Amino acid sequence: MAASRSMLEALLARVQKRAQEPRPGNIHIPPLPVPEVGEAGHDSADTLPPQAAAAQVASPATHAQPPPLQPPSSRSPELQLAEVDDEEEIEEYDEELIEIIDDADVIPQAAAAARAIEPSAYGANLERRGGAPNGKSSTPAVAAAAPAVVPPVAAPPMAAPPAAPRVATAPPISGEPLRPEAVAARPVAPSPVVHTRGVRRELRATPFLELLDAALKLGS
Amino acid sequence: MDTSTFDPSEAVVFDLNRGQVTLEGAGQVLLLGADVVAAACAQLDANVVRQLGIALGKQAGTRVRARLATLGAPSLEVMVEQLAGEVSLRGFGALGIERWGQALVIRIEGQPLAAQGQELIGGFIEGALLASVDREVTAMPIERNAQSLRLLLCSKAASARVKTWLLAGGSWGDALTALHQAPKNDVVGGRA
Repeated sequence: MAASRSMLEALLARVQKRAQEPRPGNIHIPPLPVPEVGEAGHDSADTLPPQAAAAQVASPATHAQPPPLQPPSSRSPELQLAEVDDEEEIEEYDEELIEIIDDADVIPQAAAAARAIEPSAYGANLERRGGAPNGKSSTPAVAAAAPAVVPPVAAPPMAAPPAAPRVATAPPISGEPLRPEAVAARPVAPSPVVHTRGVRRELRATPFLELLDAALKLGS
Repeated sequence: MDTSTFDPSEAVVFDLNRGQVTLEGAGQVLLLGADVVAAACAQLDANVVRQLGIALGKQAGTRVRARLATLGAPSLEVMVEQLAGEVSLRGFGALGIERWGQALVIRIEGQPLAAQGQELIGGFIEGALLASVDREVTAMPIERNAQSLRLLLCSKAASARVKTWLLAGGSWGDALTALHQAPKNDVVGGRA
């Protein structure tokens, strides 16, 4: 019993130490509190709350160091007190994540980062997340920020990777509005087109004797 | 607005007291009916009629020459105005000049003498040009209908050839075309 308690305390200290370590990425996320032990049997995605899973999808940097799994063990009063604090921190953490997700609706950088993520990345599933905790879904925000992205329903069976650049000569994807592509001639440098030698005299102004002499030479 | 260089003001003066008509102050003139003149021309030899026309034309040419002394070297437009003015005063019709290639053709609209007057009018043009610009010209009739007359201004040699072509049945247009070509290609209007 004493051995198991000391082992649990050592394990808790290790988890807290790892949680306090700074994590790479643009979004600052407070250290992840230690989840409840004893809920083994779920994978990492199930361990995290829905908001945390969504944050993982939205920002791959937050998934760089997944929280370690803890083996099941019995609970101590100290652990129970720590769980109460951890639950409060988790709630605060959830609220921050919700703000991050909501900010993605209006922040272009966040929307672009979210658009670059495949739904199947990191094993996450959009359907498993369901609705956001605040009653909003993050999918419309992504769609509104990037209307050119093809919805999953309209995607072809053998869809190319979303991040792959589309070739200009490729046929337009169904659902994407057609845009005219025109090729205009480059401006032509100004140059003389017509060259005239001398000036054409108007007949009425021509000297009469000149005309008469020319006429008298005909047939001679 | 440009106006003609020909001024007909008081060109014809009727002196009713003396019973005389003068043309631009020079000599007396007779007012004859067109039908009478046409009948006379029909009865006279063509050369006689032409000489009569030349005499009338020289008088007109002399007046033109006097006016050209103040106008300078005449352009085609000026010459048309002067000749047309003189032709109008005689009552021969309205004169114009056409140029077909290098050939000059005088066209007179509304001439009252019909076929009998072509030699008279032709002589008039020849005399007028001789007196005004010192050119010996043959004004050869090439086309005529009831109201208009075309006279080709050419040399005597050319007029002989054109006359031959017209007598052979060629049109005056073909004659003008052949006149611009080499002599060996002059056969026009020949019909099988």
